[in-house]
Amino acid sequence: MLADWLRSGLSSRRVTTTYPYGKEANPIHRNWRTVPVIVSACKSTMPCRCGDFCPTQAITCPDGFAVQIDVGSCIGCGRCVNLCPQVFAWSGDVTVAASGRRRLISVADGGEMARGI
Amino acid sequence: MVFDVSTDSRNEVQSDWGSMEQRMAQRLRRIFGHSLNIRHIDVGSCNACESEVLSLSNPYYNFHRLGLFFTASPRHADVLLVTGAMTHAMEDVLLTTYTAMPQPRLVVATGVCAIHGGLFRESPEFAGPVDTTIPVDAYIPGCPPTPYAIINGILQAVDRRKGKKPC
Repeated sequence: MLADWLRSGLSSRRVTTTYPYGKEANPIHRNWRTVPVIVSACKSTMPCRCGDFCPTQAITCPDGFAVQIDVGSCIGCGRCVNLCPQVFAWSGDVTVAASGRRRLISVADGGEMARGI
Repeated sequence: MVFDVSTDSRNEVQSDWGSMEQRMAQRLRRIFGHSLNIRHIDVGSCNACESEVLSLSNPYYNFHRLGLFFTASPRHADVLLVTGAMTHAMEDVLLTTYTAMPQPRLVVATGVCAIHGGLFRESPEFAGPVDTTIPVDAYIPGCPPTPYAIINGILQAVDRRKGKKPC
């Protein structure tokens, strides 16, 4: 891991990241666990208790089934990804900032987080 | 010995990125009249966010290439970067810092604690999210947010500011 990083860093000639422009010389952040996202809708036929194992209640099911996650209150503990991997997955996305509080809440349809940029 | 830039092959590789970064710095100067100066305030953080904020100025992230700088006084700042779960003791300090800043001013809430309270939400010392005290222009989630995300949030707040009257 570290050897790969050193090799790519030395061979890319540029130490400083090029973010937010273009291709990264060391795309190391793809493997980062920044925020969990909802990859597919919850298939549970009965109201599940996924909100109970979230330590900050970031995961809620407002009408019983449609699960949504508020990354503004998610501390990234990873319990949801471990317990329910068919619904939650780690995202390496770093463009997670939003201009409004409600834009941080992502739902199952589309699975995409609302982004400002 | 005179250092000749044109013979340095590294500069040729970097010239494209360098020009784009210079354009970003020029854009910030157009919006604010100068480079963007950031005042960081810790209102009760666990120092994980501070670690990420400090790494913005290291040689890897090097946010000075975009025209962003830290400043020591809120009087010189355009952006207030707030980290941590706001405690009762820091509520007035945050408000004083905000009012000391010249207009136009931007506020970026960094980390889950500043946005929501995170693990400290149930604590009796927690005074509330930052946006209950001062208006927030950009929210950066993450515990702690990555330096990439912090750069993204600051630029997003600037984009939101573009073309508006002084607040």
